[in-house]
Amino acid sequence: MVSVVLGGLAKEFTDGTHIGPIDLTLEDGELLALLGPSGSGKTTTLRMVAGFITPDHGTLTFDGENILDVPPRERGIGMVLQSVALFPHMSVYQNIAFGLEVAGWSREKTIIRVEALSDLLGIRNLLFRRTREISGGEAQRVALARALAKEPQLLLLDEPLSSLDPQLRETLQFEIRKIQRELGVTTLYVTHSQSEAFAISDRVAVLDNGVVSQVGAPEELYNQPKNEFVARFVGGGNVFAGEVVRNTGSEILVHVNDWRFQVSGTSQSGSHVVFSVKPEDIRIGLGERPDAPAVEVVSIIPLGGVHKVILQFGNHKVTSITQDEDLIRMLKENECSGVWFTFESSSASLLKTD
Amino acid sequence: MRNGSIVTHVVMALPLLLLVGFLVYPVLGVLILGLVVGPGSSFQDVMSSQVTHATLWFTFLQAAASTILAVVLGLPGAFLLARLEFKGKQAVRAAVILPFILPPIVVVVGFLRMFGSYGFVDSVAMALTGATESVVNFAAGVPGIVLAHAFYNIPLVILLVSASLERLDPDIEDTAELLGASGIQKLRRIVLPHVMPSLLGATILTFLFCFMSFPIVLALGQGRYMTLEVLIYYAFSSFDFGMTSSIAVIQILILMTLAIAYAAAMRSDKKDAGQTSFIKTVPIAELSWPRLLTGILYALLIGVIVVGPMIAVIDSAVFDPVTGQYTLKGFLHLLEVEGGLLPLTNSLFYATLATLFSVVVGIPLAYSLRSRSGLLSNSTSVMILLPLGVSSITIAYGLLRFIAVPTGWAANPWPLIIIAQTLIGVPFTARAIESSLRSIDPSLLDQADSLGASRLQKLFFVELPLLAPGILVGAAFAFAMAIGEMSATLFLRREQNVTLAVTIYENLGVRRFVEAGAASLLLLVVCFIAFLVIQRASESAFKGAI
Amino acid sequence: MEMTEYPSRRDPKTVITAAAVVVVIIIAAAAVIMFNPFQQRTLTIYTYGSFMDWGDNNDTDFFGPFEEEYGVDVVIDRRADDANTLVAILEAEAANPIADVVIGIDNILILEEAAKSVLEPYTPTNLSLIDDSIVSALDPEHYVVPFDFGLVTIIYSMADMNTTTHPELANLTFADLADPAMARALVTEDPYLSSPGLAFLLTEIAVHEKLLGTDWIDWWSDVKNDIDIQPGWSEAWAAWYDSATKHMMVSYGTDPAYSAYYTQAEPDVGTAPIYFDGEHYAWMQVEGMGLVKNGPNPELAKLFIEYCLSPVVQKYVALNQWMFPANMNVELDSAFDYALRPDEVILLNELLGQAEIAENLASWKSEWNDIIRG
Repeated sequence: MVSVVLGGLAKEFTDGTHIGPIDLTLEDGELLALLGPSGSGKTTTLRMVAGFITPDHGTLTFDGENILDVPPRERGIGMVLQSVALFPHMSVYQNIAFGLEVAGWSREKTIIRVEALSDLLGIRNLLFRRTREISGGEAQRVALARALAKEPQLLLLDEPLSSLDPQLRETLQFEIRKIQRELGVTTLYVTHSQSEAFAISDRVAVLDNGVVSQVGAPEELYNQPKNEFVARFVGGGNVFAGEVVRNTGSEILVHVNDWRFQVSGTSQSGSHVVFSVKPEDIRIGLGERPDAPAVEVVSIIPLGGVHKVILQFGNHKVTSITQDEDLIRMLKENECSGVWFTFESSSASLLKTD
Repeated sequence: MRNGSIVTHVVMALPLLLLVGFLVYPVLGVLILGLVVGPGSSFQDVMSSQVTHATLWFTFLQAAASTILAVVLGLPGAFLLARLEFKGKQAVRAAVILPFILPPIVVVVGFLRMFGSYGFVDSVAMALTGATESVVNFAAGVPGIVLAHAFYNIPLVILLVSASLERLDPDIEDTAELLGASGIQKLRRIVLPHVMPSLLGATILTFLFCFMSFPIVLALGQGRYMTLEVLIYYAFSSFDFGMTSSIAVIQILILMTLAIAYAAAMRSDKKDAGQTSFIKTVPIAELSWPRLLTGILYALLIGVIVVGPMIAVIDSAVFDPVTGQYTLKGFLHLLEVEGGLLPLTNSLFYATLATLFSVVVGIPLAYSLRSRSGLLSNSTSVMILLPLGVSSITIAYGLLRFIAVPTGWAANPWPLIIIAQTLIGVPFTARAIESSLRSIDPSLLDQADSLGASRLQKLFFVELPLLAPGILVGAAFAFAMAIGEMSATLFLRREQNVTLAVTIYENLGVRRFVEAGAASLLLLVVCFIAFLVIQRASESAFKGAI
Repeated sequence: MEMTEYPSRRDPKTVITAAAVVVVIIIAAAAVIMFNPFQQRTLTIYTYGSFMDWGDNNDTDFFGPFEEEYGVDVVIDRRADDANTLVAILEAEAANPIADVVIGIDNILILEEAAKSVLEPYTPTNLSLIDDSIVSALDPEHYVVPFDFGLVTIIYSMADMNTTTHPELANLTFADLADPAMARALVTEDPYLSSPGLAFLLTEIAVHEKLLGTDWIDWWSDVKNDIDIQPGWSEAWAAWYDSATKHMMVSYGTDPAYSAYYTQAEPDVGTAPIYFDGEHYAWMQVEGMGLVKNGPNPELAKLFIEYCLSPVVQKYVALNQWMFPANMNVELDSAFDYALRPDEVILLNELLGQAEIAENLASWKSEWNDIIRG
C-alpha cells in the first residue's frame, strides 16, 4: 500500500555504536525481511522507520514523501514487537480495538472490524479474555490483529515469533504471509532466523554491523552470496579461504588446508580468494580417496528426513547434508573416521575477494 | 514525553507553579521577614551561637540513631509482610500504617503508659523481679526519644520496602538459588539491590521526620533535650523572627542536601521492576520451626514496641485518669456536633480532597522527577520534600500572613488547610508514582503511539492504568499524612475548621482525656477503613500494590 | 457475541471534565455551606484554647446577655493553644484584622513589642470595678485590662506527701527543692512555651536575686538532671497526676479549690508557696483583654470589654477559669477558701518590676536554656 525508501539512514549512539548508512527500498505490497544476527542494527532500523528513533543522517520517504518530520502516530503504521507488548490491563478485545477507539471510530464500526480481524486470525473466541489468560501464540495473533486493525499502510514486525515453539512458528509464519498477501500491506519483517526470512519474504536484506550486506530474493542470496558474511549467515554455508594456485580461465585451483580444490570462476594466480559451498553440495563417503581430503566426523545431526554431518577439515568445520540413510548408518558404525568429502567445482561460489 | 506541545508543558508546569506559589513564596516571605526586615537575632548571631551548634548536632545524632533503629527493626517486618501468606494479611497491612498517623501528643501518652516508670513493661519487670520500685523506664531520655521515633517510623519502613519487595520477580530468585546462592548471598546480591530505592526513600523520610521532631523530644526528654524544631518554636514564642528564619535556613540547607542526594540516587538506579511479577510467597503453615520461631519473636518485639502504645491509646478512650474509672463519655462526646461530627466531617473532607490533589499534582511531578534535566529533577526533588523538612510553623505562618490575610481567606481558611495537607502528601505520591513509572514497559508506550493515540489518550488509557499501583500506594500515605496533620491546621483554623487531630489536641489541653482518646480511636478507625478500601482498589487494579 | 457485551471506551476529555465538574460542585457546595452570611453582626473574640472551659457553663451563659442586648453574635474563637501564638496570629492578620478583642495576654506577654503592636489602648469606663493594683500589675498603659488573675505556685499531691511526711512543704524553699529527692519529684513547665513555666522561672529569679541575693542560675544547675520540664501545663499535669514518683508540680494556687469543688470533700492537693524570712511568696499572673488595633467593630468591642469587667461575666470566672475574677466584688464559691489567696502571700511582682523584666527576659530565658541543655 505504500512504497518506502530508506536513503542512507544512519544513527550514531552515545556509546559509540553506529548504524548505517542504510539504503533500502520496499516496494508497495512486498514483504521484505531484515535479516541479521543480534546487534546488526535490525531493530534500530525498524525503529527509525517507525519514528521512535530520529536518524542523524539520511532520508526516509513513504510514497516519495518525506516522512522524517511526521510523528509515529501519524505515519499509518502497525507494529508488532518481540515482546508482544499487549496492554496488560485490557482485554483482548480492548487491545485490538485500541487503535480504532483512539481514532474515534464509532462503536458499531469498531466491533465489526474487531470481529472481522479476530475471525481472520482465528482468535474470535478469545475476545473477552484478559491478556494473561492466553497463550504465547494467541498473544502474537492478538498483537497482529491489533496492528492490522486500522489498515496500516506499513506493517513493522520485530522478531514477532522468536519466542514460540517451531511448530507454532511455522504455522504463524504461514498465516502472517497469507494475511499479508491478502491485505497487500507493505511489510518490514525483522528476524535473525534465516529459515524464517526465507519462508515468508519476497525479498531479504541482510544486515551486517549496521549496513546492508546484500538484498535480493531468498534464492538469490542463497545461491549467489555476494560475500562471506552472507554466505555464512544465510547459507549456513561452508566458506573456504585459500590461495589461487592455478587459473585456467574458467576454473581456479585453490590451496586450502593442504588440499587443492577446483572452483569455477577466475582469479589471478597467487591471489587470495574466498568461496562457499552449500552443505547439500558436499558429498561425503567412507574410506579413502586420493582425490578427496580425509576428514573426521564431528557430529551427525538428524534434521527430520535429512542428516547434517559436520566434519573436521583441518581447523575448518565443514557441514554436509545428506539423505543417504545407509551412509549415515555406516558412518555411525565405523566410529566416524576415514571419511572423505568432495564437491563439484561448479557448486562452489566465488565470493568477493579482498 | 516526546511531544513538546503547549498543553503538555502547561500540565507539567502547573504543579511546580502550585508548589512555588503555596510553598516557596510563603516560606521565602517568612525568611525575608526574619532575616531582612524583622526584629530579633541576626543570622550571624544564630549561626555562631554555641546553642545552635550543639542543638544541630544533637538533632542530627538522635535522628540518625532513630533512623537506624527504625530501619533495623522495620526491614524484617517488610520481608515478613512480603514473603508470608496468611489470612487477614490485608487487615495487617492496613493496621501497620496506623501508628504513623497518630498526633505526637497522643503517642507520648501511650508511650509513657507502656514504657514509662510503672507502665506496663515496667510492671511486668517489677513482677518478675519482685521489686517494689520502678525497674525499667524506656520512655525517658534519649532511649525514650529514639524508641518513640522508631515506633512512628517502623510502619513507614515496613510498608514502603514491602511494596517494592512484592515486585521481586520469582524467576530471578529461583535462578539465583539454582546457581547456588545461599540465603545470605541472595539477600545481599538480589533482594537488597532490588529494594534499595524504596529503602533509600524510607530512610530519608524517616530521617526527616525524626530530624523535625518536636513534642516527643521535649516531653520524653523531660526538657533536657532540644532539637532545631524546638529552637524554632522557642524563637517563635519569643517573637524572634530572626532566629526562626535563621534556623529555617539551616533546615532548608539540610533538606536540599538530602533531596538532591536522593534524586541523584534515584536517577542512577536503572533497574526496572517487573510490574506484574509477584514475589514467591510462603504460607505460614509451611515455615520451618526455626523460621517460625524467629518470626514469632520478631512479631512479639514489634508487638511490644508498636502495638503496645496503640493499645494504650485505645485504652485511653475509655479510661479516665481524672476519675480513675472506665467510662463511655468520650464516645458520647463524639456524638455531639462540635465534639465529634464536625471534626470528623472536616477531617474526611479535607483529607480526601488533599489526597486527591496530592495524586493529581503528583503525576506530573513524577515525570519531572524522571526528567533527564538535572536541574528540573533536582529542583522538583527539593520542592516536594520542602513541606516535610521545613518547620511547619514557618510554613503555616507564611501561609497565614502572605496568602490567607491578603486574599481574605483568613476568615475561613479551609482552602489553605487543604493545600497545607496536600503539600505534605505530595512527596509520597510523587515518589510512589515515579517508582511505578519506571516499571512501565516502554514498548507499551511505543505501541500506543504507533496505534495513533494522542498524548492525552496515551496518558489516560495506557499510562494511568499502569500507574495505578503507585498511585494507590502514594494515596494511602497521602491520606495518612493529611488526616494526621496537626501543626499547620492548628495554626490556621478558625473554630469551624476543627479536624479530628486538632480536636484531640484541644481536648488534651483541657484534660478531657477520654474525649481525646475517643477522638484518637475514631481517627484510627477512619484510617483503617480508608486503607482497607485503598487496598481493595489496588488489588483489583494490580494485585497487592500496598 | 452480543454487541452490548463489548466494553466501550470513554473519551478522556469527557471523564476529566466530568471529574472536574464533580470536584468543583463539591467544593462549591462546601463553600456555600461554610460561608455563613451572618444575619447579625459578629463580634470576634480571639482567646486561647482552654478559656473558660474548666467548668460546667458555656459561652452562651457568659455572653448571651451581651448578644441579646446588642443584637450581635459573639464568636469566642479559641484561636490558638497559647497566648504567644495568639499574638503571632494577630500580627500576621494585622493588615486585615478579623478579631475585635483578644483575651489572654498576661502581664509578661504585654511587655513584648509584638503584643503592644497589635493592640489599641483603651480605658474602659468601668475600670474602677477593678482594684488599681491589679490594673497596674498588668498594664498601666491600658493596652490590656485585667480579666482574671491567679497565683503560680508549687502544688503537691496530698496522697503522696504532706506537711507531716515532708514538713518542709509548709515553708518550702528553693534549697529544699534542690535536694535530689525533692527535685526528682517536681514537674515544671518550659518557660518558653508555657506561662506558668515562665512564671516559675521569674519566681526563681526574683527569689534568688531579690530575696536571697544569690545567682539565680545556680539552682537550675543543681536540679537540671532531676527535674522534669514538660512543654506545657497539660503535659506536666499528665506527668504529675497519678505518678508514683512525681508528687509536685508548678501550677495555680486555685488547684486545691478545684479539687474540693469536684470531690465535694477536703482537697487532695496542697499548695507550697516559696517561703523566705517569715513570709510566703508567689507570682501573680494577670490575664488581660485588649482592643485589637483596627478591628472590625471597635465600638462594640469597647462595650464588650466593659461587659466582661462587670459582675455578669466575672461571676463565672471562678468556677470556669479557676482563677480569681479581676472584679473582686464578686462572691466566690466556698471552695475558694482552699485556694491560695493573694492576701496570704507577698507578690513577687512587687519585687521584680515590669521594666526590669522587659529588659532582661530574653537573656534570662537564653541563660536558662544554656544551663538546662548545656
